[in-house]
Amino acid sequence: MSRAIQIYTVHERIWHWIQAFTIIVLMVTGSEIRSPQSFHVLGFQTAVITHNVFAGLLLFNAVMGLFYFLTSGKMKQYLPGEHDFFHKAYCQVRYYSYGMFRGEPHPMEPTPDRRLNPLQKLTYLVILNILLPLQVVTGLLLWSVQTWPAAMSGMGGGGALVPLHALGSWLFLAFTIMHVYLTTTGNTPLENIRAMITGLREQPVEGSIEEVKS
Amino acid sequence: MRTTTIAGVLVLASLFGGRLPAQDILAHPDIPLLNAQGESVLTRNAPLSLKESCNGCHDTAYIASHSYHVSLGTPEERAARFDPLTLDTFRPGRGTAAELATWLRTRGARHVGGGFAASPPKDGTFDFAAAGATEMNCLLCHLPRPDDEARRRELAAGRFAWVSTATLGKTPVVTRKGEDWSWNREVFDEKGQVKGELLGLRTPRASNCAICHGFVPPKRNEPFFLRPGASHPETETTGSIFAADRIRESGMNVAGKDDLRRPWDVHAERLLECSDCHGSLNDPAYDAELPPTEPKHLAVEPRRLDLREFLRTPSHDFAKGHVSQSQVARRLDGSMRRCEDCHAAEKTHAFLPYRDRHFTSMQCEACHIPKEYAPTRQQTDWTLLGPDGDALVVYRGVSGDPSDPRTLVRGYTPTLLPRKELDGTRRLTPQNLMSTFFWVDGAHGEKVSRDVLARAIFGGTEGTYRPALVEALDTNGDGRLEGRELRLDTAKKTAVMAGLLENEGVKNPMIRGEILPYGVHHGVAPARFATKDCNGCHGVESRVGREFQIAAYLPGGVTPHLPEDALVTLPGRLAPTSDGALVFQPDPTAAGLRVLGFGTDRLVDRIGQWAVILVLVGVFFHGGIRIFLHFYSRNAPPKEDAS
Repeated sequence: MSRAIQIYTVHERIWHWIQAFTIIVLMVTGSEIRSPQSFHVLGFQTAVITHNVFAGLLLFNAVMGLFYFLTSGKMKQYLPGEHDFFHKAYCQVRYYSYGMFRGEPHPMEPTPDRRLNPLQKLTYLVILNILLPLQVVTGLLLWSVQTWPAAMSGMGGGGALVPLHALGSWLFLAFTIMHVYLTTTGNTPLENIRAMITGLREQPVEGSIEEVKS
Repeated sequence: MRTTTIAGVLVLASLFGGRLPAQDILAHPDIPLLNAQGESVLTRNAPLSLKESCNGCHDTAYIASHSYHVSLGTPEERAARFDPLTLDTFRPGRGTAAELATWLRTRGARHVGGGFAASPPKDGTFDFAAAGATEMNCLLCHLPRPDDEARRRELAAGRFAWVSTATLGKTPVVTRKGEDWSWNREVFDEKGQVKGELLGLRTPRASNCAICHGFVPPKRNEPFFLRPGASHPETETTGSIFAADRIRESGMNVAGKDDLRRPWDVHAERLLECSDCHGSLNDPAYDAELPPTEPKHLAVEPRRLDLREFLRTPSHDFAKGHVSQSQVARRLDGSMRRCEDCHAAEKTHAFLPYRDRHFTSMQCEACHIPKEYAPTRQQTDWTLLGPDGDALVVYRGVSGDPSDPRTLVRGYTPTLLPRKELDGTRRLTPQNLMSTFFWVDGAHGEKVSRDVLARAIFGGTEGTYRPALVEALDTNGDGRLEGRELRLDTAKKTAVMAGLLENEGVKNPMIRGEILPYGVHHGVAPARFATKDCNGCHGVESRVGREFQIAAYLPGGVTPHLPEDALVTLPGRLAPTSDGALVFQPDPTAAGLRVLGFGTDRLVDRIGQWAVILVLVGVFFHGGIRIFLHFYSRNAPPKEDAS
C-alpha cells in the first residue's frame, strides 16, 4: 500500500527544469560554435548569442538555487554528513549492480527531507563544486575576452580555456546521459521523472488502510 | 537671388569638380630646362638633366638621398633582394659598370634612376661617359602623361643620358627625329624656360605609380582588359587592381560579373590616390605617425616644415606599410596611414560580436578584401624557360590562358595567415602564396642567372630548345616542347637539365624552392561587399581552414619552404596531392590562434568521447540486463511454494 507525498516543491521543480533546459541548449549551441560545419542548427552567430544568453540564465538560476537551498536549510541534503555514509554508499552500489536485478527493495527510499542517496550526493558534490564552477569560470573568461582580454590572457588564453570548457561540456554530457538513465531506476521507469514534473511520489505506507486514512 | 545663384554654382562646382581642379590650380612655375652642365638644353640640343633643371627650386641631391625608390634600400636589403618574377638578382652598387649597364638596359625600367644608377663604378668595363648617367627621373612620377615607352626604348638602347628627355615625348617640348630628340624651340621663352602648365607637373597620381607597380586602367569608365605579366608586379602577385570602375563594367571575363556591382577598389572609387596613404614623410599636410627614432613619450611631432621648406626638400621616402613582400626600407615599415587612421571602425561595426577581439586578431583587409578578381600568380618556375625565354607560370583564379580575353577569370580568395605586427602581436592578414623554383650553384649557393639559364636551355637561339632537352622532355614525340612537357617532374629530366647547366659552368646545380607570401592590401571592397557571414571564417571549411594550392607541380620533386625573414608564418602543413600539386592546409591553432568553430582539441575530444561512450555502454549494459530480467521474470513459471 502506498500514498503520494510531495517530494519536490514548486521552486525546486522550476529550478531543475530551467537548469535542464539551459544545459541542453548550451550543449547544442556549444556544439555548433565548436563545429559549425558539422553541427548546424541555429547558424553560428545566433548560436553564439544564444549560448551567451543561456549561460547567463544558467548562472542566474544557479545563484537563485544556491540562495534557495541555503535559506531553506535544504543544503544539508547535498552534504554527505551521515556517520554511516560509506556503508550506505556501498549498499547503493550493491543495489545498482546486484540487488536491483534480484528484485530487492531500494536501500533508500527518498523522502522530502532526504532525497539523495549517497552516490547522488557524491555526484552532485563533484558537479556543483567542480564541474559547474569550471564551466562558469572558463565560460566567463571566454566571454570576457571582449571587455577584459587581459583576464583571459592571464588565465592561459584561449589555448587553455577553450579545451577546459570543452572538456567540461563533454563531462556534462556524460553526466546528463547517466542522470537521465538513473531516473528510470525507480519503482517504475517513469516514476522519478513524473515526480520531478508533479512533485509527487508514491511512498509505501505501513499499517492498515484505516490507519493511513486517519 | 544673385547671391543664391552664385552659391549654388559654387556648391555644384565643389560637388562635381572634385579635387582635381583645385589641385591643378597650383600650376607649376616656368621651368628652365638645363643640361648636365647647367646650360640650357637648347644651346647644344643636349639631353635634359633633371638634377640641374629642378635643382633651382628643389634640392635634388636631398631628394635622391631620401628616396628608397632610388637606393632600393640599404646595402643589406639590396643584398637580400631577389625578384622572383624576373629572377633579377642584381645587387646595385656591387657589380661592375658593365653589369650595371646591362641591368639598366634590361631591368632599369622599374628603377626611377639616380643613386647608384647615376654614379656608376669607373672600372673601364663600360663607357658611361658616352652613354650618360641615369638620373633620378622626376618626370616619370610628376608628369600627367610620361612617355614611358620612349623612356624604356632609350634605356634598352643604352642611351641613358636621354632617358629623362624621352619621358617628355608626349609633351610639345621635344620631338623624336629618328633615333635622336630635338627640342622645340618655339615653346621656350627667351630665358630658355618652358611654361609650367605646358608640362602640367603635379603630385603623382595612381597612374604614375602604376608604371612600376600594380595595374591601374588608363581611363575611367572604359572597359579594360589586363594582360598579366611581371610589368605589374603588385597585381601579378596579389590580384589587386586599383580602379574605380565596377567589376561588372570591365572588359575582364569575370565569372558572375553581372552581379559584381562593386568597384575594383573602393578607395579608387572615392578618388583616393596612392600618395594619399603613401605620402612624403615630411609633408606638412601629412599627419604621419612618429618615426621609431623619436622619443617614446611623444605622441605627435608638432614641428612641421613650412610649405617653402617642404617644396625645397620634400622627402621621397614615402610612407609605407608593413607588408610581407616588402624588402626595401624596413625602417619605415608602418609609417603609412592604416585603415584605422581614417576609419572609425568602432562606429560602424556595432553588428559585430566580440568586436574588439576581431579587431585585435585580424586586419581589416581580412574581411574587406573577400576576393580578388585578377589572374594571380600561384607558381613561378625558373627551372626551365618557356619558348619566350620567360619563367613557366601557373596562375590561380583562371581557367586557361589568362592573356586570352575569352578566358574565364574566377578570382581567388586570399588565404588568412598570422602576420607579425610591429607591436609584436599577430593578426590574420589576407595573403597570396606564390611558390618559386630556381637553380642554385651548389658551390656557393648563388642563384643561377637568367642569362646562364637561357644559354643552357636554348644555346644560341632563344625559343629553340637544345636537342638533349627535347629528347628528355618531349613525351608525345612531336619534336616540340609545350604545355606539361615543360616540367622537370622526373629525376631523369632534372638530371638532363642539371647536365646542361654544368656545361655552362654551374657547379653541382640544385633546385631550390621558396614560398613567397604577398600581403593583399588593395582591391578593397565597399563595406556592403565585405565578409559578414560568420561561417566565412568560423568552421573547418571556412577560408581560415580551407586548403590553398601553392604549386601545381614540384620541379625536381623539391618541396618549397618559407624564407626565414618572412613576416608571416605558415601554421599548418604542406601536403602533396595525388596529381602532384602542393597545398597548404592551414591550422591557425598551430599559431596559437583560437578561432571558434575551427579546429578541435583532439585530446580533449577523445577524453570526452570516451567518457560518453563508457557511460552509454554502461547504460546499455545495465539497462539491457534490466529489460532482459523484466521479460524473463514475466515469462518464467511461478515458483512452487516450498511449504
